[in-house]
Amino acid sequence: MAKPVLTGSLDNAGHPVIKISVYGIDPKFQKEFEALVDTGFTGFLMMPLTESFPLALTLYGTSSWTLADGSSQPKLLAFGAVILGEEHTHGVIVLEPNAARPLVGMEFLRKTKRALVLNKAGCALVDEDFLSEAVKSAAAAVRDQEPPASPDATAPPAMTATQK
Amino acid sequence: MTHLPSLNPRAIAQLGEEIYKQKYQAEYEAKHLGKFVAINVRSQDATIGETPDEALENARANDPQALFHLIRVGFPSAFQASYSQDDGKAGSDWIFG
Repeated sequence: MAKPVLTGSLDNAGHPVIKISVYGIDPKFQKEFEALVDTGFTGFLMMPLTESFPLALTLYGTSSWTLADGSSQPKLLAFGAVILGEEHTHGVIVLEPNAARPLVGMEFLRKTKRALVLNKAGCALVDEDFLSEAVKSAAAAVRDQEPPASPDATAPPAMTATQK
Repeated sequence: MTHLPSLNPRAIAQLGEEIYKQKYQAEYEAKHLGKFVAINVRSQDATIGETPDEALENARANDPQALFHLIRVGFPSAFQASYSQDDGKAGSDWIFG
């Protein structure tokens, strides 16, 4: 069974980072990276181009991505797999010639069924089902701690003789 | 069949965009908004999918040797990113083959 919580950290700039391994046609080519989690990136994985050569990724062609300033840039596309914990997930990888490190995006979170949880001390990727159950349990615990509503406060006022 | 002068990513992307605009854009934006299209830049065929993986894997199953340009129907690009780690010009001179 996959680990429900995978712990990451924050880099010097405060961005969430996680450890992943990436490979192409065969897991024997895998290499571990520290990847930035970017919820503003709609794709699966962006890899620095030079780092991708030893991984034996399969070249698929090209695509383009739009930046926040509205500019578009053509990028090479490849296919490969990411190992997160012990899970292998395949997807389309954007190759970036001048990037310093890999970046995982929203498609990665969707495919791995993980939610990003952040606080000032670090980050974690939490299994979506596990998180959903935890939230339900927490909500139930809060409800149980609330004092029961007073019957007098909620019941309509009794009618008096003068009101009849 | 389109002749590919080189495997420069910018040239392939431009060719894919031109094929899409000429042959598919009007129809696909009416019928397949938000879906992904893999344009085979050699045969000019288009393959639609709900996700980038679906479009590209189905396109590649039909022509394993081809190169494809991925487009999201009705969107300026297939992917959006919050920031770039390059200067916007890097990569234009990468030539393969």
